[in-house]
Order: sequence, then C-alpha cells, then structure tokens
Amino acid sequence: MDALYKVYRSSSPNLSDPLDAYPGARALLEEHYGEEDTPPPSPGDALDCLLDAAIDRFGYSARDVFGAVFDYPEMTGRHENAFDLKYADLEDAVSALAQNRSVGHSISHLLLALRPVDQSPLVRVRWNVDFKSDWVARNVIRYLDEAEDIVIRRQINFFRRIPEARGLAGRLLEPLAHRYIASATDGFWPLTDMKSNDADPPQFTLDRDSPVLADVQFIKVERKIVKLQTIANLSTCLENNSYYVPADPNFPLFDAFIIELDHVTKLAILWILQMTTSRRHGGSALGYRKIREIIAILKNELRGDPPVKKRKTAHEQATPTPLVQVRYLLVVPEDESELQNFQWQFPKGWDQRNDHRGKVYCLEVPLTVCSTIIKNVSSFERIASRYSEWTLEMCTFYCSRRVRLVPS
Amino acid sequence: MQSPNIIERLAGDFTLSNKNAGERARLRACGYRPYRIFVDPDNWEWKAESKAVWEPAEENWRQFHANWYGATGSQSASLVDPKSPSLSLEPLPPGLDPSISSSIFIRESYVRMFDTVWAKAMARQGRHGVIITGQPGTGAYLLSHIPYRVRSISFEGKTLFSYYLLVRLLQRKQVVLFSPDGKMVYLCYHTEIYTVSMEALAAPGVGVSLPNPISSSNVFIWSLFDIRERKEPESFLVTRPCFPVQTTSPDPIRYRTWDKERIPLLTGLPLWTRDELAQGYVLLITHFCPCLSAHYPGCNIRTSTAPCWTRFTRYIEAPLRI
Repeated sequence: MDALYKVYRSSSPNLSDPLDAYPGARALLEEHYGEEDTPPPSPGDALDCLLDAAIDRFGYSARDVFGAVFDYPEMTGRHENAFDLKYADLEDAVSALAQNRSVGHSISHLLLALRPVDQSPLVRVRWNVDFKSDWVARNVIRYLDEAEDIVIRRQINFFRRIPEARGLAGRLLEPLAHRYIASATDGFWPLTDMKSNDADPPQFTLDRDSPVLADVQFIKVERKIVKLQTIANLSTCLENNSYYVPADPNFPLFDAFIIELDHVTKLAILWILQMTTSRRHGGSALGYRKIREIIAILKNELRGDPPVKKRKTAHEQATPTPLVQVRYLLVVPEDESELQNFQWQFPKGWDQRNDHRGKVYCLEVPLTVCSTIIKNVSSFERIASRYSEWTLEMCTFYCSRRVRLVPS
Repeated sequence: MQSPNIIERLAGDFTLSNKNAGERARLRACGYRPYRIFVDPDNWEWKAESKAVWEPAEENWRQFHANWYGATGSQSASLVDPKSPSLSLEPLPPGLDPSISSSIFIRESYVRMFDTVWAKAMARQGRHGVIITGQPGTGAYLLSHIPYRVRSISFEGKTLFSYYLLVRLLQRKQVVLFSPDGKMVYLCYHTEIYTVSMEALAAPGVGVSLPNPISSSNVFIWSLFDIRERKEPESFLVTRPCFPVQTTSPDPIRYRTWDKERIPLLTGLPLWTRDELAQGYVLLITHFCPCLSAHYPGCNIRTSTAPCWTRFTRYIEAPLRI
C-alpha cells in the first residue's frame, strides 16, 4: 500500500479532492469504513464496497449500478422521484409487465424488474415481476405502513392474483407481520434453530433436529411499535416492551429489533428480526455496524442505575460487566413458507468482529390468520359492495392517494 | 420433457448452417469445438433485378464485415470467453447508432442466448423464429468514452445483443439480414455486404429483393432486427426464407402478427448477476481512462500501478487519506 501511495502521489500533482468528481462516493466509503477501529480498505475492497452499495440500492440493473458509480445521489434522486405514483399505477404496471406488455407509466422501470424464468430449453419463458431492489420495495412499503390493515390486505390480494407477482405480494406482508408480532400476547413464540454452513459470510438454514435451548425464549407480549429515525435516537426511548422498526428505508440488514434489558444481571438480549419476504438481497455489512451501535447504547444503559419501573428478564445469572447477547430471528410468514427458502444469507463482515455475532433462529408467524382475514376481506368487500359503497370508497381513496415517499 | 442438453447439443449442429454458408470452406470455430463446412455452393440464387435494389455498404461496414466473416483469429476467442468479455465493433462509427459504441461487454447470458437462438434455428430448420424481449432500461453497454455525467448515457442491452449475434453469425459465414434500428437494412451475403433503406425495400412494387434458397434446399436467411418505432416489422423480415430474431421491448404490438403466424420462441435476457456487474464495472472504469486500453491492453485495475490509473486510483485511494 505504501508503494501504491508513492506512485499515486508522485503522479498526482493536483491536490484537489479527486472524490469531488464522483458525488456520493466519499460518503459511502466513509460510512462503511469510518468506524474508529475499522482498517482502511484496499482499492479492491473499496471498489467492491461501492459496487455492493449500488446493487443494494438499485438491484441488478446495470444501467443504474454503473450510473451510481459516477453519481450516486443523482441516481438516487431519479428513483425517489419515481416513488411519486399512485398505487393504481403500480397495479397497472405490474399487471402489464406480468403479461410482457408495455407499461404506460415510464417510471415503472425505475421501480420494477422483469425477470425471465426458464421453463425448459426452447420453451417460452415465464416472467417474474418484483421490485428492483429491497430499497425500492421498502420505500413503497413504507407508505403502506401508514395504511389500515384492510388496505394492505387489499393490495396483497390484488398482487396475489397475478402469479408472476407472488414474490412482490409477499413483500407487502411485512407491515402486517410487524403488527402481528407486536400485538400477540400470552406465552412464548415457538422458535426453530438455524445452523450455519460455516462459510464466510455464513448462510443459515433450518435445523429442526436441533432443539432450541430452554433459556432462549421469545415472549409474546403487547409491544409498542416505535419507528426509529436513527439508531442514535434509541437511547431516548429504551423500553423492554417496545418493537423498534427502523423508519429509514436505507436501513441495512434487518427490519426490526427488540431489546430485553436486565439491569440487575447487567445482561441485555438484542433480538434482530428480518422478514424473509421483505428482502431478496442479503443486506450489507453496514447492518453489523448498526447492530454494534445498538449494543453500545445498551451497554451504556446497563452501566447506569436500574430504573425502578424496568422489569427483570428470565436471566438470573448476574454478570459483572454489561453483556449484550445478539439473537437473530428470521421471520417467516407461514402463508409464504412454501414459496421461500428457509435460508438467511448474511453479508460480508460476519467474521470480522465478534460483538455482532449471535445465534440464529427462525420464527414462523401464523399468517394463516392473515389469510383468513384476507378471505374475510374479500367477503367483506363483496358485502360492502352491496350494502356499503362508502366503505369501498374509503378503500379506493387510500389506494389512489399519491405515494410520495421521499423524505422531506 | 426435452433433454436439458438440447441447446448444448444443437449448439454444435452445423449441418444446416453449412448449407446456409453457401460456399466450400473449412474453418475452425472459436471456442468449443472444431467443425467443418462442406457445402453446396449452389444453394442460393439471387436474381439480378433483386440484387439491383441493394448497394454495397459503406466502407466501415465492409471492413467490419471482412473482420468477422469466417473469423478464426484471437478476436473470436473473446466472443465465448467470459474472462475477456469485450467485443470491439470497430470500425463501425460510434455515432452510427446512438445506442452502440465501439465496445460491447459480453455477458455470460449473451453466450447462452446465442446458443439458444442457434439451437432454435437448427431444431426447426429455420422455421419459427425467436423474440428476445424483457424489461427496457435494465441492460447496459460500455461506451468508449464515458460522459462525465451519467444522465447523458443511454443504455439498451437487447440491442447490443443483436450486434453480438451478428458477429457470431458472420463468424459462421451465415447469410444475415440485419436492421439495428428499423431504418437501414444490411445484407451480409457471403463475402459481401449490401445496404438499402427499409423504406425502399418495403415500397410497393419492389417485391422481395432477397436471395432465395434453391427449391431443393432448406437453407434460410437470419433476419435480425430491432424496430425502434412502435409498429410491426415489414413482412419480408419475418417470412420465409428468413428466420426472424427480433429484439424488442415488451410490447406485443411490435410482433403480434408474426408471433401468431410463426409461433417463435419468446425469451428474455436475464438481469445481470453480481459477477457480471463486477466485470462490467471494471471494464467501464477501464474505458473511463481512454488511454489505458491503448497503452496497457489487458491490464488489471486491481493490480496495475500504471500512471494513467492515477485519476481513478486517487478516487479510490482518497478515503484512505481522510
């Protein structure tokens, strides 16, 4: 590296910041390598970092990825403008692409990706329509977060009728799954162990033969859903019974987290939740950094005096210094389980540090309840169409609102 | 169910294509396996009045055609070698078509798609055809001179595939009708290349101006086209003796009639993989420093310390000096 520096310095009389020519690149690299004890990247690693960041945000469209290399903010802005559409337009676009028809809304190609699916050699392909990337999907879903359950279910129902868009429909389950987990009470969620393939980065798969240890319990308790703008805000709203959902669609790696703080034993458990239907891409190593930020906040909290109102967890064993255990939870809607591989591919960086690592479990959420409700919704809509035009108008109103998802 | 290897098997079937070539020759295919061409030179006939409609193509097209017709040299190896995935279209002028440049990144899926198209043609002896579609705007190509701002770049992956297909077919000495934009048509007929406007060919009274296979043969013309306007292709592009290969955005209006008549294989290029993106990314950056390719052909961005890397490496190295 020293030799490279000499070469570059000797041939680089211009001392202006070369990153100026590539908007966004500096911020991306600083974000990934800015942590105090993170070693600087090699040129190859820096390239990989920028490429992965572009893929994470824009998916596997070469135009977007290569464009983002040269101007990340502009490419981002172009996509953010595309979020300004009606759900009815999105429905039209998905329907058209599923039938390999042209789409009237030119911005749809900024949101959607059409993938050919081979049937067999020399046979016409089928098509799969999905959001271009997890980032795009999360921006669209973020709007749904504000909608009533009935509206979300109506959307899911619509896209489920299009076989080519089943995966896309599955993504919309995320807000429902959050609400379901946060509202369930009484007892513990059944967990299933997941085992690593010991690769770097690892991939975890279901291991039904290996029982989950008795002290690993994920309690059903009514939780307040807290939308977190940044992890730094966590220290102001630490609550055992909260259900934290990162509000930023850029958030890497996971969809929600839960904490269990025990000030007496100085032990905290950090449950990291990821919906299997919400992400196609494994996330980025930045997620580990976010987890480490949470761990630091929890340790800091445990060092202080225990607030009187905070309750103990099941962990009785006292620890001399604050300790945070991380447990990863892959949330699989049972409704979608047949469509999904029960796998969790972690991003690079898992083995680089110890503190963010933890056991991995699977939680199957019985969204058959949702299915029942969805069926009921269909019945409800039929009834409503006869007896209550007003209710349907309300649904239509929600679905035709413009989706402006760009943060102000 | 068909054998999963049917495409692979037919990729090496040159029986019919040898006849298409229409000349006695022997060459070695780049890539997989050697093959021979023993053909009847009298498989084709082209009436003088039909030929008169055409003019010899421009010099750069003639040179391009000569470069690739029956090519067996090292440049051919790159067409199927994922490790050197670049195809030069020179001397075609970059401005000839705003969507092409002097260099194409050859995706692995291009190689597979070529085998599929070839297999379809061989399996059906030039009947049917292929429509290659997919979402517009998700492909990419590499310009020889990357504009400073990405907004001035336009991309189209399917269009570029048609150039790749043309090169591969020329290498196999096929008779090819080629219209990259629906306005100009080029006819690669053995060692010559001709051109005429689509308008002139489609004018009433002109009639079919293509070479004809003799009645006893089952040879065909490869008809590669990409119509930019939202309309169906002219009928001569999609009727015998042509084997149509249309690259198009997803829009049945652009192929409705011939899709019903000839029941072509409808297929699509997949999105890029991470490996392809990584390869293309490096190639893109290579082209960003135009002098690099000239002075350091084949240099590796990750290891090179060439001075002309300075600009880019400073870009990469700068964060380390924070």
